[in-house]
Amino acid sequence: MKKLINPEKFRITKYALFLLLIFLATLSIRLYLSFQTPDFSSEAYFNLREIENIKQTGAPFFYDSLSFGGRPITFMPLFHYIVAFFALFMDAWIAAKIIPNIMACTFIFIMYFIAKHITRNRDAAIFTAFVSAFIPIYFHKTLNNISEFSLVIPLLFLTFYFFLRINDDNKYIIYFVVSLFFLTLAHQTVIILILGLLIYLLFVKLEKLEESKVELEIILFSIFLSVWLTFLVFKQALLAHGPNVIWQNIPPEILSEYFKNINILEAVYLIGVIPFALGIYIIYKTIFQEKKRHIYVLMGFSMAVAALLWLKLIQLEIGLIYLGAVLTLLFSQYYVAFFSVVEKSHMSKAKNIFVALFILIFVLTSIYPSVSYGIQEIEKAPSQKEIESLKIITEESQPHEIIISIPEEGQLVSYVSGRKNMIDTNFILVADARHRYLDMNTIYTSPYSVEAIQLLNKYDIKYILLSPSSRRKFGMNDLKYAEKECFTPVYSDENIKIYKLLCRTQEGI
Amino acid sequence: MSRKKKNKQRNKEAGSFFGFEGFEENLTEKKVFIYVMLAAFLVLIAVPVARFYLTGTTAIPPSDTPYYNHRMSVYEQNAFPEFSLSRQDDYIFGSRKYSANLLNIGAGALSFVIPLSFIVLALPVLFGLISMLVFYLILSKLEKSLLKKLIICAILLASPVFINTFVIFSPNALSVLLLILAFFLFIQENKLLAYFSFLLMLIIPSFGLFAVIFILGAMFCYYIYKKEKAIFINFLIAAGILVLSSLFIFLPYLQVISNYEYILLNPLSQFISDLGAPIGFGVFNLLLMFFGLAVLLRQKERHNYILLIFVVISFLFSFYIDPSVNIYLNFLVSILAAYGLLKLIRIKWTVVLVKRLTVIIVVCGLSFSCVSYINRLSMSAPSKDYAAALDFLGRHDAKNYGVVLEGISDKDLNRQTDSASPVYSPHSVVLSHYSNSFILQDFGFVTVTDPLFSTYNAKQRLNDSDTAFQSRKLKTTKDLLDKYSVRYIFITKDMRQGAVWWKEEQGMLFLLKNAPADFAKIYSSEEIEIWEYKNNGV
Repeated sequence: MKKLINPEKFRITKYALFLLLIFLATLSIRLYLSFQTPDFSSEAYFNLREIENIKQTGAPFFYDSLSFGGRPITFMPLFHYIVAFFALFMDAWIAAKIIPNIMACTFIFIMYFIAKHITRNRDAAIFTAFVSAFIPIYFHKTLNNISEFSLVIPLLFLTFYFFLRINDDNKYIIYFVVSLFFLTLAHQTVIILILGLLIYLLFVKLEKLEESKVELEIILFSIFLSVWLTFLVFKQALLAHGPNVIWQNIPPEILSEYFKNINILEAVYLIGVIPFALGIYIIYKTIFQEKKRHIYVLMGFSMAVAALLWLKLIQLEIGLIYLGAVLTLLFSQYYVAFFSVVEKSHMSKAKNIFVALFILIFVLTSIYPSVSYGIQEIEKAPSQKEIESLKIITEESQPHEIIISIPEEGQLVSYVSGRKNMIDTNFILVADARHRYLDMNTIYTSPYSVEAIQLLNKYDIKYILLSPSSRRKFGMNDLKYAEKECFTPVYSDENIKIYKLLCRTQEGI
Repeated sequence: MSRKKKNKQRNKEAGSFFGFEGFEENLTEKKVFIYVMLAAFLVLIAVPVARFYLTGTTAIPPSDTPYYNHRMSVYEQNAFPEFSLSRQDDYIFGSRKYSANLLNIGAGALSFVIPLSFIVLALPVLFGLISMLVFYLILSKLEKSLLKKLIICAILLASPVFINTFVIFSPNALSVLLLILAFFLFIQENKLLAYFSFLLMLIIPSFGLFAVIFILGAMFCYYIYKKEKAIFINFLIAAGILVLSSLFIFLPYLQVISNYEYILLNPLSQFISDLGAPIGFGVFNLLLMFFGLAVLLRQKERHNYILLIFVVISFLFSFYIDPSVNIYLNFLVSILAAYGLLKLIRIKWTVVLVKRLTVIIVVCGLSFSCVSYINRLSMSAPSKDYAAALDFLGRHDAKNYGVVLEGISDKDLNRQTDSASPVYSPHSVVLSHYSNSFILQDFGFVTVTDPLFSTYNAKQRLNDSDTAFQSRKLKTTKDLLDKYSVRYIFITKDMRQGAVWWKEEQGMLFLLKNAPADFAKIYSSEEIEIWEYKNNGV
């Protein structure tokens, strides 16, 4: 009878159960937090409009008639298609709440498989999967933002996993090719993966490791595929902005908000203390002591991200998500090394205490910041009053009329009111992005009604949204010129005011 | 083992590639030659044909360079047979000295028998076909593999630099032709032909320093490759001629070009065609070139290292100093890219599917780069609307300010051309973006700036233009317009869409609209607006 129970199979079931539990727990926390508000973070609304458009017409729009008063846009639409597909069976907003969170949670399985492959240790793999579920920056960036990174990060690491295994079996080459193709269609940051693989090749050369022909072939293929697809999709943007497309045509005044200097303490907090510290330790150990091929692959990738962050060629938050994920994988290596030492020492009986200690530190330094960031993210979502106020503009205004808000709320304004915004956060292919940004600042902060009206006339702006966010941004309670007879409030409560412009100026020269 | 058998064996080892092996085995010298020349013809006439469909005429070539060279050719025609290196160009405000180039002198002389409009259209294409022929002959002498020759020529033909060089009427086409012709003659065993190459070396320096460096580099690489004493002696003679000729031609030339501040545009967007460079390399050409170079360096031969140094220096020069050297570099890039592509096809891959996909992507990348560039060039300014606006302006200026316009017929609304060339007495000064200046000058107007930044005080002028365009203070703008005696302001769609202005009533646009006493709109179409400045005191 006893032989009927296969212990190995039981182990697999146990780990699978653990993994499923982590997945369900993470998804539950995510969905619980996400459904605390029926709305999304302000920057999510462009994606929501694209998803709804795909649902209705079967295709995304590449000319946004509401953004910046009407402008062409360029982006990779895979993520939107996937969410739109699920939106066929439910409301688009529900699909946009659930599907990105499910996608983001699949990251747990992928991290488990990668960690299992590089450590050959299921305990370490399970722990790594657990840690990866709560990388603070990844958790809050993919919680309520309808962010394509919910898809991109798991897909990138899946591609990574297939790369790590291409020497094992030829089927992984095909898997790699397919996943790379989808990754390229999902986001342009595939270029970082390519850079990482090139740095890995450099390590192989420098450390005189055995060169793998199949790796070389696959890297070559990846370079050609990603460059070709990226140039094909972003051709218009590349011709318009040239190399400056890297900085997304963001006005210099706010460029530093997007491409920030990396601050180590902030990085530690956003990535998590355990993965950051122990991941870096493993890099150090690999450079000076051990020569492990798969660690070099991870190191190549982390160095590519670090270099791009240092040179400010990648947005800090995106860079930290990648860095956090790679350091988490490197941490798995430490986990194995640490417990191998523990087991060999006289403290072997205290192994469970160490595991508990790890979990405790992890809860304090990763889960707590993740949930805390998540709650902050939910609180940042627009309030019901804000949504209602924008709906009033829809009733009051004509379809061609333009509303001014701060860039972060531009997409929200367009989505809810169905009216054109003066500015939002997608600056690519906007010829006068900088001027618009400066003019927006002037309109909100000017003490002179004449100056403000001139600028409002210039963009044919009819409504000014003064939300809690814009008040915070400019440190003011009300427009300084709002009492004048040219502005009438169409909505007003203690937090939100919307003014309608009644005058036009005849400008002197 | 015969070559065919060797190829067959190698292909078998590398794995099947869509019947490519059969294609290679069936290649003959004659077939390859016909394919190459036919492809060259099709690529080179693609832009003029597309322009014809877009504008309805062949008289409006794309880009601004042909207009400058057209004007200079007319100038040389009028000055013929007088020859001088240093001439006066009155079509930039305040005038400047310029040095005549061989193309303008030749086209000017030729225009006595062939209409200049036809020369502008046909001469670069003809030069392109001859260059391709000579290049093919050089390859035939140095390379035995038919497939390699075919791929090199295909990559060269599909490159944006090649298309630009042999579609646009500029000295580049002649320069490239003479350079490869000189090299072709140099590598011949027949001594008489080598002497002919020395004759060509006499005039090569007139195309610039890099033409000299490039031909010297090519000859030196050939010597390293062959390692024959006779070639070394010929190289020394050629180098001597080039140096002496450079000194003879450059010394007076250097006196003509003054030392105004050098203005460098964004290097990356001047280097890569896909980022908008007019004479730039396609991304796939560059990727394949690096791959090809890596393949060559693995052979660990001395001449390959010399090649590497040459490529690096040339690229640095092109990147940071003058991207026009790409017209010569393109041949090298194409050869190295072909090595890369051939290596991709011939090496045995672990998974044949990945190999197929890679080669398909590479071929698609090269083709798209070519098609996209042809499309971009065909659509580029000036359009028919643009030419009609200038024609109107010419008439308006003649009517109101009494400048006699000879050579513009009533029927031909497009432009002044041919043997009935106008007497080029400068008209009024027109303010526009510098990229429109060559065209404006060719239509008989004087401009404040133009793209030859090193021949006048460009920095000051560009700053003044920018201030005039961006200022909303009428006095500031008027002072600057008066400073340069501007009579017209020529505004294109591109200028309104980011080249100068970003918003509706930005800077001068506001003044134009709100100062009717000073500015009058005299022409308006979908693409062009022309404003007359009334109180200029000219």
